[in-house]
Amino acid sequence: MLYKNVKTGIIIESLTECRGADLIQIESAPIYEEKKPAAEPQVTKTTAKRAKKNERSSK
Amino acid sequence: MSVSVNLYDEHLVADLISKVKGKSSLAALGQQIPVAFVGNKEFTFTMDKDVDLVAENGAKGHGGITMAPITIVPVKFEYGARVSDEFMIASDEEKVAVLEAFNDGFAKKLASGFDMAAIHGVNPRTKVVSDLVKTNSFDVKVDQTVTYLGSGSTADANIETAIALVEAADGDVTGLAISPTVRAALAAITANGVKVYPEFAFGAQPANLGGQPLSVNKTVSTAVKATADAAAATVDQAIIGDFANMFKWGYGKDISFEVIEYGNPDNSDSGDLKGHNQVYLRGEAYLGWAIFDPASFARIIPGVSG
Repeated sequence: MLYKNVKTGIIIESLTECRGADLIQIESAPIYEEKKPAAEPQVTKTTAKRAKKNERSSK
Repeated sequence: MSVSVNLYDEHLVADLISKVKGKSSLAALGQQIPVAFVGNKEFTFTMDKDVDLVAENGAKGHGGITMAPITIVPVKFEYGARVSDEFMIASDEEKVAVLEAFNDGFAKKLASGFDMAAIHGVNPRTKVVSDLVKTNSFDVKVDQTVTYLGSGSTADANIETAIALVEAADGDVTGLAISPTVRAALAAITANGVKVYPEFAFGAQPANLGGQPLSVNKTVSTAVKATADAAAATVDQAIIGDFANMFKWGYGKDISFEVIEYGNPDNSDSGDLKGHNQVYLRGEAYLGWAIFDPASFARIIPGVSG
């Protein structure tokens, strides 16, 4: 969670709930973004045919 | 009525004051000052802005000062006990032995009583919130709080967050007062099977943590009652902040000691002292304190599960 001291403008992060007269919560979601797995290259029909052709020509 | 009133012997006072400092978190971490019996008026003096950079022939602006008066009024702490009147006819050496034992006990009670009154705003004997001190207590004045997760793995993160709260409010942290629960949680934190804070293991109470003065004290987490009939509950697990500059305390008057021979000075069912061949030993001290800037402190408070 992210909190901001409205008097000083300083932002702090906390695992737990914080309270204070000058404190406002600005972010309740987890502060660490989940890393998305990198997209695998898609194999299309044409690319598969080309690969087979290349294999044959190399032989 | 014959009552002998004495000021505490000088070496007993020095002994008492050092013992109080040894047992009270606030006395150990805060700054001791002389307090007048009628109270001290101190001023907090804050310069509102930073210094101004002025060019040659440039116009100068107003900086501003905020001054706020804070009065430190001492309150009376008393402890008394009945002993056999053989105390009166004992030799001087035996009397001194009794006085030293009383001094030991009084110092411990005064130290923990001071913490309970100043931290929680309660009467130390009843643990009930007292109108005399509640508005001058950390629990009422300090509104910056962090919820304690109650888990060993996050106790240090809770402390870091409390420090961040104080620093975000433009304060400094010069001391930490933690409960035995937090001490145990810190001792239990491990990384790769190794204790991260071995200095807290096996009940040890180090005098500092990460270079900051530290006091481990059960008075921090004393269970208190809002009213006499209410259930007692723990309201703090740690208090963190600028004890060195923003909290001051002191003795308001010479510590007095009385040997009372007659009457019922403790208003108890035990009745008249003379009727029971008893005398009453009474120690009294006046202590005053002030929290100058509540924003320079943060409390770690129990969560729902306590």
